Amino acid sequence: MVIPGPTGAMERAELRIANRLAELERVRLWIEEFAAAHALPMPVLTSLLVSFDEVLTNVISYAYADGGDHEILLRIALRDGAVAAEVEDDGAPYDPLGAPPPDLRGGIGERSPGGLGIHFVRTLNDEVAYERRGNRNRLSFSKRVSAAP
Amino acid sequence: MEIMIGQSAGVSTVEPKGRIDSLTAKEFGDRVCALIRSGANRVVIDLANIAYISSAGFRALLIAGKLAEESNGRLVLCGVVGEVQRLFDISAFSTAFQIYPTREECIAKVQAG
Repeated sequence: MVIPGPTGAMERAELRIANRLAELERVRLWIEEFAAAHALPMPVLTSLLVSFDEVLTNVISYAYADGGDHEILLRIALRDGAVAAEVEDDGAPYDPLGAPPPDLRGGIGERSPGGLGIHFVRTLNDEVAYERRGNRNRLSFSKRVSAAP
Repeated sequence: MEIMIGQSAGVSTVEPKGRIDSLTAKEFGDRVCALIRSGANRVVIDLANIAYISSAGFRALLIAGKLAEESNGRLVLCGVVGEVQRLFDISAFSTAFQIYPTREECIAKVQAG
């Protein structure tokens, strides 16, 4: 759903997806549409694409022990010179920000891929926050659009 | 995703196009690992036509890199520029992998090694 702002451009966008990995293609197109509408710079677009990929892959893969159908709510808003995004799900309580940082040292033989997804979300964004409200997890992340002075 | 696999003077070249994310990483990783298992022990992956790589993509690259090491082969990368370079730096894979600026340099390096 696209909500027009006072200038006619969409200031906020919302998308509801099913808890299936195949939905990530639709998510990518939705992010690209928002980025194009606001002429977001490439680093901001990449941050959004990678962050949503990481967060949603985690939720879809691990949040639902029941194996049933669930809806995940996605939001992007442009406000105060920053892009603010949210992922809301009704899966098991899980704070990805509580996970230990990954060990990035060593060569190919020593490296383990664990923990890299949330490391990307933390590093690519200026702010990341987790909140459990009622039976829902909400992970929000935001990034300034203009370069810091 | 589109993956072009070629041969040049005993070196295998892999050129994926698009993005290596949660949806495409498995296909990409399976293709590279199958190539190594089929006996290719000098592999160049050219990432010049990749827009971005998520952690699933780095996992696939890491598995392929480990397999190449275990097979006493060489796996090197080129085309690591722009946003892809930024993601390699954040994940510290820019120091874990052997990366060269051009495909020609990659080929020369694995032929020499």
